[in-house]
Amino acid sequence: MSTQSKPIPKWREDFPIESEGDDFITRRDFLRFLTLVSAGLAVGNGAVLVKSLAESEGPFPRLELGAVSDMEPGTWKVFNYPEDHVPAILVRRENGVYMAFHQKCPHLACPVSYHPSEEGEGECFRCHCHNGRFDIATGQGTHGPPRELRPLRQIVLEESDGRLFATGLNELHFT
Amino acid sequence: MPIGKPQFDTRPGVTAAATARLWIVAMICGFQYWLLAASMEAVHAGNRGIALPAFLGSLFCLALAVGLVLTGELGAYNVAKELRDQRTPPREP
Repeated sequence: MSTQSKPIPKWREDFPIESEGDDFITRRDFLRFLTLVSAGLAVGNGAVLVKSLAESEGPFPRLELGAVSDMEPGTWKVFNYPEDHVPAILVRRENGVYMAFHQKCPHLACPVSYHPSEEGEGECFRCHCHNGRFDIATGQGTHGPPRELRPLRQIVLEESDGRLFATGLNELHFT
Repeated sequence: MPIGKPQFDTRPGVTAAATARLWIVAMICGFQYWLLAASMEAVHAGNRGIALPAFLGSLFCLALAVGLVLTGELGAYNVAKELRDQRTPPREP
């Protein structure tokens, strides 16, 4: 009886991965692998803890945003606060009140934009990635994925001698 | 030719127990994944106090998973040892 070696299929040349043991992954092996996954996730939580211990907030800089009369009611502009890489949005509401928030949507960090009430949905911030909407006064999500997440972080504004300044971030309150 | 004794644990319920262990550890992993995502979200939002309890919870889950795996491994080891001892002929004095 002659032994003939099986021809190697073409796809095997492109994927030269040993697969003799592929069909023999036992329940115990899989369980060991899951334990490794569990250890990795615990390490991830440890990394979050280290990150939370390493970071501290404040003191915040005092950043001049321009003259109070620079912006018309119902308009907005972007700036960076407290660091140069953190985008923020400054809005002069239709009632003349200034509000400022971080511009990153808490869902997937897309930028949010201001929408005046004349667009039919009331004054609000909107994230166009997943149609999220935020309350203009509090930054809390009211529609879409942000509804379940943290609000936009509010920036404290101060008016002095007709000039507008960003002076810090509002405390977060957790329920 | 006599058929040899099995090399592994053949007690009734062993397979069911192993499957149960597998499912429980898989669920623990799913919970740990949720815990990691939730604590990361909270820390990004500035709620840093949640990181330590989340880490301790994750460690507890890991201990549970390791305990379950070790239980299975030790059980299998003990049975295999027992079977080996039964096969080994007693030494003559």
